[in-house]
Amino acid sequence: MKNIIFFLGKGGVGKTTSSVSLSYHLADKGKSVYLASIDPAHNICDIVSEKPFNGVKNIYQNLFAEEVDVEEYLKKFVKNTTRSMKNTYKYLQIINLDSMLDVMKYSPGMEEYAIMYALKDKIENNIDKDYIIIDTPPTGLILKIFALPFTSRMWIEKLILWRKKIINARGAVANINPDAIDKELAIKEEDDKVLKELGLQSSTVEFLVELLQDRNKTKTAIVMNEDELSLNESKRIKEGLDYMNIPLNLIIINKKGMIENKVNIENSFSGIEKAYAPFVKDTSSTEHIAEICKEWAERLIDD
Amino acid sequence: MLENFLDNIKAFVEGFKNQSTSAIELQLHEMENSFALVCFGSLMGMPSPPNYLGMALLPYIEQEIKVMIFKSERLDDRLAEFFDLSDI
Amino acid sequence: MSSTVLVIIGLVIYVVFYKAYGGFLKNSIVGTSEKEVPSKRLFDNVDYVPANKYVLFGHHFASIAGAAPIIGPAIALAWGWLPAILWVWFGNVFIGAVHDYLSLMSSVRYDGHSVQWVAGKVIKKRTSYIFAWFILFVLILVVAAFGAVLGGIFVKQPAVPTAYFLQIAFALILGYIMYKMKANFGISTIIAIILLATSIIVAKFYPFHASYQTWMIVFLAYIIIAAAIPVNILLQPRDYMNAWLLVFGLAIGGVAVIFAFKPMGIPATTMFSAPIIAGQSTPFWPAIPLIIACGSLSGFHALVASGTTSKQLSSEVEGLFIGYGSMLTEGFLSTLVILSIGIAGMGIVGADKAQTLTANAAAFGNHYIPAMKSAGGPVGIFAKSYATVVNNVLGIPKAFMVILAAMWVASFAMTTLDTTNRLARYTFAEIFEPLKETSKGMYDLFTNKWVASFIPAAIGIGLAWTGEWKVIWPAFGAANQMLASIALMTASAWVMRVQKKPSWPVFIPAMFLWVTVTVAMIWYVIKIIPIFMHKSPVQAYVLGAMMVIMLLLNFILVYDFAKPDKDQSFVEDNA
Ligand SMILES: Nc1ncnc2c1ncn2[C@@H]1O[C@H](COP(=O)(O)OP(=O)(O)OP(=O)(O)O)[C@@H](O)[C@H]1O
Ligand SMILES: [Mg+2]
Repeated sequence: MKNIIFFLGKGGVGKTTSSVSLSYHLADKGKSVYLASIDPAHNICDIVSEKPFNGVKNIYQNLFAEEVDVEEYLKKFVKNTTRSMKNTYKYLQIINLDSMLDVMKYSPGMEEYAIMYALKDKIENNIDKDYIIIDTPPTGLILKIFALPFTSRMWIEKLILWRKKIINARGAVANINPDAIDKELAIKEEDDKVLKELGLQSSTVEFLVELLQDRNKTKTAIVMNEDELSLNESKRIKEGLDYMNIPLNLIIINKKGMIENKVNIENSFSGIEKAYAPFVKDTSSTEHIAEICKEWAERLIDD
Repeated sequence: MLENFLDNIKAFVEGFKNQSTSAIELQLHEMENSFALVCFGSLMGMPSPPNYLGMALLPYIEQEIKVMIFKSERLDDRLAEFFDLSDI
Repeated sequence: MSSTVLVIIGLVIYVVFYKAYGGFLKNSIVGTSEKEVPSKRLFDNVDYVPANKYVLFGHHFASIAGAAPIIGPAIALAWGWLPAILWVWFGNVFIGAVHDYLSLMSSVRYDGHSVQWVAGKVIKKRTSYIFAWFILFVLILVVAAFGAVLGGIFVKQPAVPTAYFLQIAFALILGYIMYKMKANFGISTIIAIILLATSIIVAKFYPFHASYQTWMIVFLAYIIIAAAIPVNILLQPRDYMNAWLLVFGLAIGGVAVIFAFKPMGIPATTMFSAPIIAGQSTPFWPAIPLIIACGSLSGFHALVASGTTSKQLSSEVEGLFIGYGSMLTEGFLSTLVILSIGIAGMGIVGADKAQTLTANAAAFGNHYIPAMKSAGGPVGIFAKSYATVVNNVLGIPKAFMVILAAMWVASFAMTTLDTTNRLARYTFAEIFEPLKETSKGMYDLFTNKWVASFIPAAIGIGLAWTGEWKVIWPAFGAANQMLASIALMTASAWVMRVQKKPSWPVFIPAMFLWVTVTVAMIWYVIKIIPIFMHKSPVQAYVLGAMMVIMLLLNFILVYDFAKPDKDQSFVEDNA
């Protein structure tokens, strides 16, 4: 993989259109491309005028598109947890545990988690492609998803340290007073399921944190229109990215000329490259779509 | 007679073993207690790791949850438990 | 009279009372319960775990036996050895052991709840809150008392601080070996004993001189730092070393005193009012419980008994052995202290002083405390006498034995300093609970870990700063006895209202103690505080304020005891 490119921005500004445009452009150049939408409200299929599809679909030359099924990741997580819960709390089998635990997926933060996990999974599975292009959900959600690995990392580190202390204390007691502690508890670090789970979680978040902060791999573009609302939201995205030390490569001002009272953006985003994308007549035609990224496509990728 | 004597010796050694781990056991149970508390802290409005982390660990921390529940039952009466740490 | 005879008399009294009076308490007051003990009924393998009777005895005894049962009797000898030993024996069998046993058993019947909690059930809700105040005063005053006593010995016996700080360093090493590297228990134990011996031997050759005030600052820093360290680093390994010090100290001292066959070299009685507290003539009654607290009866035992011991008792019948028996064992430790000073004679404080002291009984009474002071205070005089007796009987070099004995006391006292600070921190939060609603800012301030750690330590060490252990020690004694009296009242309320059994064996000691300590404290406030005021006004005000608050609480307590909440149902709680 040469680059992973994220398109961010307020709803409706043209994230999906821009990512599709870039994908075609790269495919035309003979590159292999994986285009994924991690927005629960997908619409790649609309733009590329296809019927909704499941899984990965080869839509054009070497371009593979996927609308990631976040719900499925959520279900998978809940199912796994439920299964291991059943093993641990065997006596709970008496009552209808599955349905009880289904409510877990409504727990706050679960959607972000599922998307974060899906993101990592999809990137890993498509690491052989030349480019990975990610169409993201609107601002609020994507910032949370990006933040998740960073906050999780801190907690996981702390929990691992804490866990090791617990295991060490158990070992110390068991060493002297074996009767004072259950045998299943007095185990080595490498046999502890909690540490194992934390290790798995840690590898996910480390992978994402490293990737997101890697300036040679990760490219991000904020898509905006020339109106006040999308400008403000774009500023918020920039702040968020800066805070997490994720590179911001390009501001794409999409649908140029469509807005009447356009705002001045010259003074905003100093130090960040800006590019314009024309307002095209028909976004369902491949030729028109290709026009959109003409000005900025090469600025967003490393060859 | 001899058996009795051996029992006494055993109890004596056990007593010393106990003397060398009792504070650590106390500390251990409080660490287990707070590990569980932290994992489910969001339920109580405490700062806590993202929910999914607690849930991912949930199946494996039966002991910690047990300890948390035992300890929480006695929240209004914990002071005296710590008095055997000191030697007045 | 020969020490050997006295030991035998003491043992006979203990055995007879354990069997007869203890048995009576067990059968007629405590009775039996059809419920199983909490350790089995509520077994959780965390707090509720049935323990072997001897193991539990050891744990309980090690928790209640500290430095105080050694220090108190050493001071009380100014009245002569007979009143001191009688108070230890009398207090033990009728008050202290009853108190410990009944605190344990009422806690057992209340699902292992603490005596503080039970007090709230059988007397009044606020009784449990008053309890917390007494606990706080005990904790602050124990820091003051131990700080002052330790400062005295550290200055007079400069080898002791070396031994002590070496022990801390060695405890850190032992902790690493035992709990991090997880060495075999037997090997760790051998290492622990070697390290202990090394610290004593090395200390003899490298004394450490510093002024009293310097030591106070060191103690303050030590308290705050040590109380912030996780228990596995220092507290636990040192506790383990302490257990060996206790066993060695008791075993060697016991053998030496029993086989000394020496007559008592100090007067049996001196005078009713010997000059003890602040040099003022101190009447034996009511002041004695302020001087000999722990060796005779101690309120803090009620907390230990009802905190962990009651949750591990594996059968109700064993309660007597553990509750009553371990108190008698502690009394035996105090007996040994009295006898060892008694038979070592006053030669240990220097020939010139010995001459004045032994002139007649009154002279002894008048000059004992100053002589003790120049020998490094109660710990100094105990350590010297102990070393002399052990040297006579077992031939172990005196110089090492002095360090061993002093380190034994110092080590227990220092453990207490940082653990009481941990406890005080938590007690603070309990006491300031009512502020939570009305004044959030104050509550947050007082319950802040470092503030709550600093305040009791600073008050304690601030009081000790004067070096007047003769004034401070009785104040600690008073607070501790107050705690005992509230625990005894709780026990008698339980016997009367819940057990519905004859309560005089608890009620009479409770009242006797309450009256004695109250009178003693009033005497102390009127007589001692003003004298102290001349020397150290700030400390005197602080001490006086604490005493007055305790007295007030004490009156509220007895009022509540007489008029408990009507809506308290007194039924045993099965929650
Ligand atoms: N450059 C353009 N010229 C003309 N129409 C455009 C252009 N860019 C986007 N559009 C149109 O704007 C609409 C929104 O575009 P798109 O779906 O790409 O936005 P989005 O940011 O992905 O929105 P959402 O947040 O809903 O996913 C579409 O109807 C699309 O055809
Ligand atoms: Mg879209």
